[in-house]
Amino acid sequence: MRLLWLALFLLFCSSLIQAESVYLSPEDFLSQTFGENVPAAQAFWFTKAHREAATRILGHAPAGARLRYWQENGRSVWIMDEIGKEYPITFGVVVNQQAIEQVRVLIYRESRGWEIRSAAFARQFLQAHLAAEQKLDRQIDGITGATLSVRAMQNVTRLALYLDQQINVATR
Amino acid sequence: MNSTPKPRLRKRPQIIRWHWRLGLLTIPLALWLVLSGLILNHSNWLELDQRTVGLQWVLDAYRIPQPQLQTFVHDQLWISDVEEAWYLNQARIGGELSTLRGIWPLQSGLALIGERHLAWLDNTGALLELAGSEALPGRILQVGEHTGQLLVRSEHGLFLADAEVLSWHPLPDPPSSNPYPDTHFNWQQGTTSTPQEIKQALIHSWRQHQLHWERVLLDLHAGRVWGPIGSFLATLGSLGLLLLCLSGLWMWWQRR
Repeated sequence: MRLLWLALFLLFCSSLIQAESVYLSPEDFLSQTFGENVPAAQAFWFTKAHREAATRILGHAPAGARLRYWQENGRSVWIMDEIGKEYPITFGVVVNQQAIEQVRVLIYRESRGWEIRSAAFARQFLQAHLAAEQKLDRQIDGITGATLSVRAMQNVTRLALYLDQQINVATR
Repeated sequence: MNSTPKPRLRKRPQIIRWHWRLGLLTIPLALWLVLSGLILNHSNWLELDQRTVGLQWVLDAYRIPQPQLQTFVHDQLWISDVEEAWYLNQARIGGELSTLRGIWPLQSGLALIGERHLAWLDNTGALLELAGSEALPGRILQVGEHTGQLLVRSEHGLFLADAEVLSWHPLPDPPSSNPYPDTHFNWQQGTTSTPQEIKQALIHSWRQHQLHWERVLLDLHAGRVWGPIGSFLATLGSLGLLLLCLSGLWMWWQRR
């Protein structure tokens, strides 16, 4: 009986441990992108139109009314959380001249689908632009068993490209 | 001329009797295994892995522990941290976050500063922003105040925030050569006087999020909910079904 309770307790403890894999901390991602002098963060405030567009892209309304970003010399960096299946995945996206320069999985919390963090998979997004209806201008190959994580990554890159467009429109 | 019956014909009634008895004995166990298995097979469709168990006695039976809770209060708004889940009164803010270190009133709302997270609520309590460690000057250890400004102690030192909590600047040295005394910064500490109604609701909400119906059904299917006896009965039920299949096949083979 004691062994059973011990097994149940261990099972319970294992369920409490949400496997969080930090592949690159958001601060290190910013340092790698900008070097030692990371520009000051700026805030993107969602208007009603932005919110509607972001909802179309993500399939749900964005959390919050503002999102911080970092911008310098035509490059903008966006750090966003998006849920894969159950838990948020933290992505870092660099947009340069309205094309994806880099997209990385910074923190992964799901139990399956971690394959999206591979450099080979992320390379598919390089130089991707926004096409009609805020879709990517290319087909991204999926990964069996990681469909929702792949979708989350696609949506985040689409949103980063859209937001980059909007801050460039605002500064023109 | 006497002819002795073939052995296989003599055995048939006996095996039929045993087949019936086994079938009757196995019915409750088979129903339990089949029904729970059927539900589990469709757990995704039924979203059992997302439906939390709210029944107090089930949570107690699973020995879900009592969580630790700390609360900060501002203008009748109770901001609580229950094992790294943040709540405004009884409404949850975001998902799994980090330990809440303090809160800070802004011109248009309230900033919540955690060890690795920052949230900004407007005056109605709606979430304006939820950011991770990129929005903070390192891992936050304490939240305090310096000349009316938000001050934090992080792993990298003392930092002051701007009015919108967008950027952080190192705290300038004191005017005199004496360092600031630690009491100067009014470091925040959570209150223990959380209203009982909020406290109970938060504790129950946290506990029920630790247990989903899929896990209960898995334990029910395997018999683990009844301890070793349950596991033994589940094994018996499975073996009974297997024997029924084999004896049924054997009888069919004999009748051909």
